[in-house]
Amino acid sequence: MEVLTDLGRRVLGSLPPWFPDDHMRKLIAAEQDAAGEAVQSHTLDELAADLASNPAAQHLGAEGPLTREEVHGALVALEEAGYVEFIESGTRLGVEHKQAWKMTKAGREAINAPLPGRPVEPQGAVTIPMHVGSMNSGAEA
Amino acid sequence: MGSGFSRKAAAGLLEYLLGKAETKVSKPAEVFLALCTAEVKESTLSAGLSEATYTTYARKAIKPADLSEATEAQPSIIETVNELIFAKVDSGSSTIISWAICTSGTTGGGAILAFGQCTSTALSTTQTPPTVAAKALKVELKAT
Repeated sequence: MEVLTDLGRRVLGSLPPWFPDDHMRKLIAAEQDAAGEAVQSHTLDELAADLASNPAAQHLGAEGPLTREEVHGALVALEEAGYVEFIESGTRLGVEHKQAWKMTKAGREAINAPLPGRPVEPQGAVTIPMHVGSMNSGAEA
Repeated sequence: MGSGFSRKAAAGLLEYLLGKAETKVSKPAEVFLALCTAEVKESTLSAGLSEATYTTYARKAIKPADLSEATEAQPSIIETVNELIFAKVDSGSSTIISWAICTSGTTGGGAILAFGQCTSTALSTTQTPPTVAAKALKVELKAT
């Protein structure tokens, strides 16, 4: 069964990307310097909330936006494929994970892998459908 | 009592951030569009981006002339006015799901200025060059 469907790819791609340990250590240090917190995994609730507000994911659920259960189902399928792992509780490279889903090396390789079954004949330019990038000052009236 | 950006300030900030015009500090000469295979978050650093990996991939420069003026509206919007065409895919392929505008043209370098999603799109030697239509890339800033 194809795991990296639009849904699987979007769920996998919504987890922080896997990097080799040496790069990850530098990244974690830089993240801690910049924001005070290194984000290397997400809980199901965090991921579901993230995807619920993702404009590119609004059509991926059976009835529109993804439900928490649909996100969980996608994560389980990705876990079976070895693309994500669930961490009940633990520390990796100094970062704590609890009830968290984390991308694996195989997951990173999968989202960057050559596409299977792509057209052999040239099809010309591919136009990328962009969604608006929205920033909010966060001010309260 | 309200607080936050005025519409004019939001427009000025967008124009500064994306290299259209100067406000109080000097604007970048150009910014660069990165195509990503994983989502970008507000906490993501440029070195933490998962960018396209096809062999000829490089971030695409967005020059000031490629951008509209930011609208003085709620939200303020700035958008590309020209088509952005990336280098043709010579070998390899990628499926991209998001984008980021960065200060550097070097993959993994610089800082991220803005980011967003795109519909999952396959880029390959037969589906090339990757193209962003004029007016397709928009960044908005909500003043409140």
